[in-house]
Amino acid sequence: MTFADVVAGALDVDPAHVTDEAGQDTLASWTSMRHIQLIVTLEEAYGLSFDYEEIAGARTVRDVREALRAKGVEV
Amino acid sequence: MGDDLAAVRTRWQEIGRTGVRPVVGVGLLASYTIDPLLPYLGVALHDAGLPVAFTTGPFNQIVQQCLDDDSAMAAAEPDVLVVAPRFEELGDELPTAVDAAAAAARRWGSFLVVVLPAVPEERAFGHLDDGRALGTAATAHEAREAVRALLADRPDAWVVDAERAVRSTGTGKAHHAAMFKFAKIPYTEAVFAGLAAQLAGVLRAVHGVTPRLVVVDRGSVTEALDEHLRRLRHAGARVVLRDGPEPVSALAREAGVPAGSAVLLAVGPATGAEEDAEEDAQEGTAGTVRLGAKPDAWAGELLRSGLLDRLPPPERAPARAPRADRRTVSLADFVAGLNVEVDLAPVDQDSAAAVAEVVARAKDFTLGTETAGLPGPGREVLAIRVRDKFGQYGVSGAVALSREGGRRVVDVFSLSCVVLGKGVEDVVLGRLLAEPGDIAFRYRRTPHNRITAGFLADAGTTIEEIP
Repeated sequence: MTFADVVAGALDVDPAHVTDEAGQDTLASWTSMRHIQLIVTLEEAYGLSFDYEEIAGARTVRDVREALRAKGVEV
Repeated sequence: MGDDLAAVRTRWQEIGRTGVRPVVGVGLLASYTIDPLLPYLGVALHDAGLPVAFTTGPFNQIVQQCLDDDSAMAAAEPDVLVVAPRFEELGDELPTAVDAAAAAARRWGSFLVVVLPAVPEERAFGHLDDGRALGTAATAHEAREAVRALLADRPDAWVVDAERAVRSTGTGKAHHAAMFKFAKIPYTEAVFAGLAAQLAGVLRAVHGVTPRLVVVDRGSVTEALDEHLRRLRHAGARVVLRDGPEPVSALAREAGVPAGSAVLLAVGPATGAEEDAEEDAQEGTAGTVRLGAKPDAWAGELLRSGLLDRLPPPERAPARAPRADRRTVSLADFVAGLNVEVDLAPVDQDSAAAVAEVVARAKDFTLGTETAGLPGPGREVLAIRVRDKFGQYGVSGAVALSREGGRRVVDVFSLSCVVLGKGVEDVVLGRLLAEPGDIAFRYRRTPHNRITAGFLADAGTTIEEIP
């Protein structure tokens, strides 16, 4: 499953909408509860955990991608 | 495990899109954010033929929601009220919360399920905690058993145990500190999934859809499986061995059992030959419970499936313990007893970041206008700090107001959900109104901030709604 599929599944959007620019301000389905679902789904999919700053700071797909890359995940 | 949990969450999304008509309303009140439970419980109940509509109460307002006849949960009057307190938030108010929930469930005609709180991980006396009755573990167990005893003789109430879900996950994997700090979600998904399985078992029994007829292909019966079939029979299930691909629903009819109480028990990967999915789906059977390839894991798999669920005989129920002489509290009594202290102070460099964060994250109690920022000419920004008998909450809200034409206009009045239900908004508003001169509140409607407008309207303030 690709990064876009994981994000799209958690946010319940079409994978085509998972662009770096997409975020909490542009995707209506990216609610606070979906944000939590996104975080736990990423943690499960990549076998890692996020700290508070990473959870709070992940406001766009780019933020999420960079947080994963910082943990050594190539996405 | 993670894949399984993600698949359940995805299924819950899919079920939501089908527009299936709910047959049971479940209300959830917790002292923490319990929303992660919904997908697991929703799917389990859906698969049991009990499509569900959830009403989730606000964070840590069990007592307030139960005592207030105008609360969101009172309006919902759910068929089932699930109350999930934790010692960490409620402390010695646990009996008050359970009493309030029991009374509310009776008024609303709800079946009450209380989730016994897990024993806290933090122990008052460290490694020496277990040796005295004053220890965290001992006091927690005493409180838990008091709740169990209180509900034991009620036909309209049951308990499930969070400790069991935490233990089966393992304490090291049961908690998510960052998620708790971010959203007051104390447990990992695995714990919520375990808790949901327990709750679903209770609700299946309450609604009479606990699987009672277990169909097994004769060819799959081995010595190892036979041992577990004996356990099923001992638990009260009827086990039927079939020789061909006869639909489960037909065997249920033959046995005089409703199709919804019949389930196929299969071993190993699906072959397609063992199920007549179409007819069974039409007849509404309880589906298939599939055991994995490893016989050593079957005991746990059967337990989690709910096939071993059975009601304990009434005479074995624990007797009601003598109740301490507790008076019934009113909502006002309860809030007053929290000893809430509210401090309003001008924002400074130390509190600016916390104020900005709390304003940005406030969803329910907010004017929905703009972020607070720092004070400027003619503009005052106040940080709201709250403490109560349970501890300090730090910067928990903010107010920003400007002078406009001889009057004060408040365009930021935000509170974190953590301090709602404690009367903090009343204290802050009281202080704003105590100052002389006219005051107005500028308000923009958002999908979530109706309670703010309602609060201000009830207080008789001037509200200027902006688009």
